[in-house]
Amino acid sequence: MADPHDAKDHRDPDQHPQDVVEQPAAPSDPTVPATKGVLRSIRWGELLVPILAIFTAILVGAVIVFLSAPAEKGSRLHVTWEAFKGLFIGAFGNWAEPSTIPNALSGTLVESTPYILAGLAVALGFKAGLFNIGAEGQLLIGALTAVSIGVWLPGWIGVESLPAIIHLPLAVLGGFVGGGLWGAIPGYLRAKTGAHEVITTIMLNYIALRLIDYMIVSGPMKDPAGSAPRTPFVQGPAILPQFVGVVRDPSLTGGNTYQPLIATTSSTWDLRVHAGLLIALLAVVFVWWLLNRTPKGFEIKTVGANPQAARYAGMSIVSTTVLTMTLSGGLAGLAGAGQVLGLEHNMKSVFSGGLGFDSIAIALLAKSNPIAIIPAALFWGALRQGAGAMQIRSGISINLINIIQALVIIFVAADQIVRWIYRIRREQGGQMVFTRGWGK
Amino acid sequence: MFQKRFVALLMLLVLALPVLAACGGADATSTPESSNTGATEPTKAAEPTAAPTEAAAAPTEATEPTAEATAEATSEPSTGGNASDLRIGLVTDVGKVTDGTFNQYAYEGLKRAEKELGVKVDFIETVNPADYEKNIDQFASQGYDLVIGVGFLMGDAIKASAAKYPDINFAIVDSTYEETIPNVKGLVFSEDQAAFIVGALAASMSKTGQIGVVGGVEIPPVQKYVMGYEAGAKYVNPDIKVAKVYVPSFTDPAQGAEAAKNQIAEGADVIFGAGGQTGSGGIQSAADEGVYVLGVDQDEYYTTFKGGPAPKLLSSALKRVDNAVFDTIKELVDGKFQGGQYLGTAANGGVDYAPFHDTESEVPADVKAKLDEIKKGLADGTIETGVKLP
Repeated sequence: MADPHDAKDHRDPDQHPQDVVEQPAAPSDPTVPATKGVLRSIRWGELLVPILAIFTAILVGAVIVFLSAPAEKGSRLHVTWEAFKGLFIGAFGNWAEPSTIPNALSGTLVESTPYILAGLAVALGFKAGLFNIGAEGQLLIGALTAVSIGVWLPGWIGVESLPAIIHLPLAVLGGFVGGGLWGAIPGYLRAKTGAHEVITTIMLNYIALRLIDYMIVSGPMKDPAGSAPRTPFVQGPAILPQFVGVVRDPSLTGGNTYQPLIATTSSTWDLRVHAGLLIALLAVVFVWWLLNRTPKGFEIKTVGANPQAARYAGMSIVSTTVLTMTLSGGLAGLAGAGQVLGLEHNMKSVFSGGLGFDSIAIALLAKSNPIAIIPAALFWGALRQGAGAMQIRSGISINLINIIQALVIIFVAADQIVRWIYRIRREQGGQMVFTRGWGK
Repeated sequence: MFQKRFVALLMLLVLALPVLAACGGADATSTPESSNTGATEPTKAAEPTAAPTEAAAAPTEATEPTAEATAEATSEPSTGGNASDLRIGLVTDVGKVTDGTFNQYAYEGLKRAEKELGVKVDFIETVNPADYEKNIDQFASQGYDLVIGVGFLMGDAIKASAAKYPDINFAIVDSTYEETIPNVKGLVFSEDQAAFIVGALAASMSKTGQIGVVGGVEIPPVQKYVMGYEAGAKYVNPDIKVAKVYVPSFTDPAQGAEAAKNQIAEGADVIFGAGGQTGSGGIQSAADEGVYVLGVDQDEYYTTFKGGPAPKLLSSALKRVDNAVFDTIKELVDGKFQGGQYLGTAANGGVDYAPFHDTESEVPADVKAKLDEIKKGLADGTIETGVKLP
């Protein structure tokens, strides 16, 4: 888990500004024995609530399935059982048939990868007191720049193709820079003019969406060879390769050869999970390190907790806000880049389908803790991966997954409900601030 | 203590009630079809259209005894034995199997196959376009015998899956491939024939001698609708004027409405909407203006006009995706499945026109007879639409 002192940051800033300012000692000093026991119990409490929230949401979900079960698939109890069994089998494989396990697990990881990155993006914003609703737009722009570099960069510089060691990092970097710039705009507007980032990021989402529509549906990036509106396929050296997979016939991928790290001919081991997962995990480590081991990270958290105190302490709110939004946008951009370079290998006009919005939920579920983003994203990914098998087995609406997701968020956001049902006392300082109020 | 907790849980359930109501609603529309034993009318949306279809398509399908199909299947080793062992998976386009679009039609074909052919069927409703391939994979990886994708946009995903699983058969609604893929069947339709019939209806009902059509994006199926409509109108009235417009979107009802109003202002008194939601917006506003309108793809009486009353909706040009899906499954059962193309025409019940519903009494009997005659003519080849795409 994260640095135990992390929890201290969750104190209500308005009541304890001094505590926050006093904190500089904390990140570099891991031994404060007097508070250690208390902090540990807070961690446990923080972990307990999301887990109980998930448990309660699934329980309520089960009741909903039970009551709405279609008659044709057997008794209600049977349908409920099959629904959750299907959810498990879809996400983790049928353990009675071991050959289904790799594919299911790989699917869950594939679904989780963008959630990790985009969840981190939103969480980082929360840490600085910024509510980045623009992850969706940043993700789209990141995907757009990454796919542009992946498809056309060699052509722009007048060569046939580039070696993967140059092309792939540039494409990934392109995703980061594209998303970062899209995030920097609201960051700058917030810092310089006070325009609230919620408004500006929502508007930028629309602009990004329409820009993509123009570029791909009717504009210059459309692949004339594609039946549905999409860009051409990225070149072979620019993809984030599958770890294990079957080499596809190039005619399916616009004449490009996509080489997995380990080539196989077995369809059991044709796994969609790709190197974007590594980028996501590295990003988690990076954000954790940034927030807990660097002065800049400390500034971010301080600005988030109490900007007045930060200003008195001589921190630049402007540069911290812009930097945070840029990094946040960049992480969301990486999520988009991972999807196009690792999974789809081209960009379709209907691309993200709300990944950026779901990531807000993931940041909430993880309480903005970078490490906790991983299990939160895995949970989300498993639900999405398992949804299909759930519907096949039970015939209930696939929207149940959305209902469970929504219930989880309600229970996490309104954790009083969970604390009340399960009689958990609120721990001292266990509260965290997601964003500052409007118009400050 | 206990009471408090009980109250908490009770409140949770109350919170969940609206959700339940929503689920229940969806359920209510899907339940009747499981109890309904009628062969060609699994749900209410298809029911009214069943009658004309049966008339046209009775000899070719639907009435063929199931036993025969099963017997054929058992004698055909290529399908892997008994029909009841065959598993068919349907992946919808974004939407639901009760949404009144081609998703629902495909689902109805699937359910009919389950009932009449004894195959096992399952479906996944796509929530997000990014999930096409994943959802197809759910069926293919489990060795389903046939996986059906709905919608032009799923073209790439079906193609990729067909290459990944060469032993599994695939079908895709509304899309086909230039080169035949041995394990993929593209289900496409003669939109021009469906439009020809409603075009004839429009020309017969027009008093001003001017009719209009609001098309969507200018892609082949829409062009075929528009050109077929004009051809059908000219077939009954060579002097008719047809105003044609293509709106570059399928999802812009406001622009469709604008286009329809312009056509009405110029004297058109029957409007055909042939462009998804754009066309629906067009006919909705035209119906409000008091002129006759014609729907497309599905019976828009149940979708755009929400089951009526729709005093101005004459009919709709139908693509019977349900029949196409059923026929494809039947081919599999009979061991005759082949990659390539299924073309839905008036002859095989693939295209049709919807019943008149609320305008039943306003359409003269001789017009009705004429339409029947045209449909028969299209079916037996004595009438050709003459539509050729450039």
